[in-house]
Formats: sequence, structure tokens, C-alpha cells
Amino acid sequence: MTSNRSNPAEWLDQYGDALYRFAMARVHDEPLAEDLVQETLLAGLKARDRFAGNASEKTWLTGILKHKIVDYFRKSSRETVQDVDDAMISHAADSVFDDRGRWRMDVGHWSRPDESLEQDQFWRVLADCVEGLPPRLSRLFALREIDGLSSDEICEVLNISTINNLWVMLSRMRLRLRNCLDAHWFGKEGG
Amino acid sequence: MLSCKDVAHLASQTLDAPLTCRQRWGMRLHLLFCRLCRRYVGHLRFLERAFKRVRHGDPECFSPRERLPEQARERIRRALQDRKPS
Repeated sequence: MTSNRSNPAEWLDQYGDALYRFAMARVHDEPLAEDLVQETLLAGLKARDRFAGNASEKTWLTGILKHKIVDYFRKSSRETVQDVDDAMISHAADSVFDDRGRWRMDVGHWSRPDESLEQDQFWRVLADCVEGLPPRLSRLFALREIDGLSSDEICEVLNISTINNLWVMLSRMRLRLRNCLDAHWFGKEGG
Repeated sequence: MLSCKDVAHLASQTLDAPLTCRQRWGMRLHLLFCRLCRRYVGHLRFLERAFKRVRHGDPECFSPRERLPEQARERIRRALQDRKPS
């Protein structure tokens, strides 16, 4: 027996909030995040004997949760995503660029953007912007920008047909986030 | 000559994969003459710095106040007790 194990009955109090926040930052759906936390703790209970005890218990449980989230993304990406992606890829940029591919919108100046990184309010605005993304793109954000998965892994999990489509979708995602920050943060700051 | 749309896409792609020489030079040439695209490239670089913090720091800065709702906590507690090996 390793000594740094705690009683599973205490997991919920010790790690429940942290696991819930971890899930919420990636799935943006309260009931789903709750279910994922529950599944994680149950899986942890079942696999408790295999916990080597060389990582912290929290890290171990977080690892299980991470797998559960990726599995959920994979399952829900199995069907009917191709049409959604194709539509997004062919139409989404129409309002931003004209027929000849020139900016239709103004790309305004942001003054001293890095100072924003020190402000809590900025992170709340960014989180809201991520939450406002279409589901495919917010999953893409979670896998790429939060968890740093490789391109191949992301294509496999989200069932994206080609790497080129992945790049286009990432480009759309960043454009949307850029515009959202421009509208709700830098515009307002008088940037 | 690349369009702004092409350059915006390449500016994003460069964060995911290396560009070809041809793409890099095409982009540089376009940026010499296009102020809006220069700004856009700067904005994407800023986003990348912000995302890096999310990745390496704590994504909890994303939702610092959220707690597992009480009802869910009770439900999970019961589920854990049911499953607990005696």
C-alpha cells in the first residue's frame, strides 16, 4: 500500500471542483461536465489498485478525466460532421472577405495587447468568446490550444477528413476569436 | 500575388505547421504592402501568447469561480457509495 492514497470517499470533496472546472473549460456544458466527473471518479474507484502512487492522486484522476473527454469528443464526432465542416469551410469567411479575397472588415489597431494578459477580466472575456464558438470549433480549441494535441491526433478524434481541412478550421476559429476579442475587449478598452 | 484571405489563412497555418518557401515569401511580399494583414498577423501572434498561458499555466484562469453544483455533488456521492467495494 502506498501512503499517499486518500480514501475515495474524500475524492469528491478534495478534487470535485477542480475536476469540474477542468471539464467545463473543455466541454462548456454543465450536465455533461458533471457526468464526466462522476464517470471519472467511478473509473478511479475501479482502477484504484492500479494507481502507482508516484503521481499525485489529483494528476492521476485528471488524466482519467482527460481521456473521458477525448472519448466523448470522438464518439460524438463519428457521424454527420462532414457536412458541417464542409459548410463551415466554404461559407464562413464570406462575410469577412470580398470576392477578390480582400478584407471587408476593418482590422483595427490593438494598443499594448499584452497588458491584457495580466487582467482577470480579459480571461473572462476570452473564455466567453471560446464558449460562443460553434461546438466543432470549441472542441478544436480544447484539443489544440488547451491540451496541445498534435494535428494527426485532432483529425482522428474529431473525424476531420484532411489535414488541410483542419488548418482551415483552425484558421476560422482564430479569426472568430480575434473578432470576438476586438468587439468585446479591445474595442471597449478604447484600444 | 496572394490575397488577404490567403494571407490570413497562412498566418494561422504557420502556428500549426511550417510553410513552404514559396508561401513564406508570398506572405512577406503581401505584408509589405498591406497594413490590415500586418495587424492581423500581430493579433494572431498575440492570441498564440494568450493560448500558451492557458496551455502551460492553469486553464482555471478561464473559469475561476465555478464549483461543482451541490445537487451533482450529492448524486455523485451516492453513485460512489453504491459502487464502493465492501
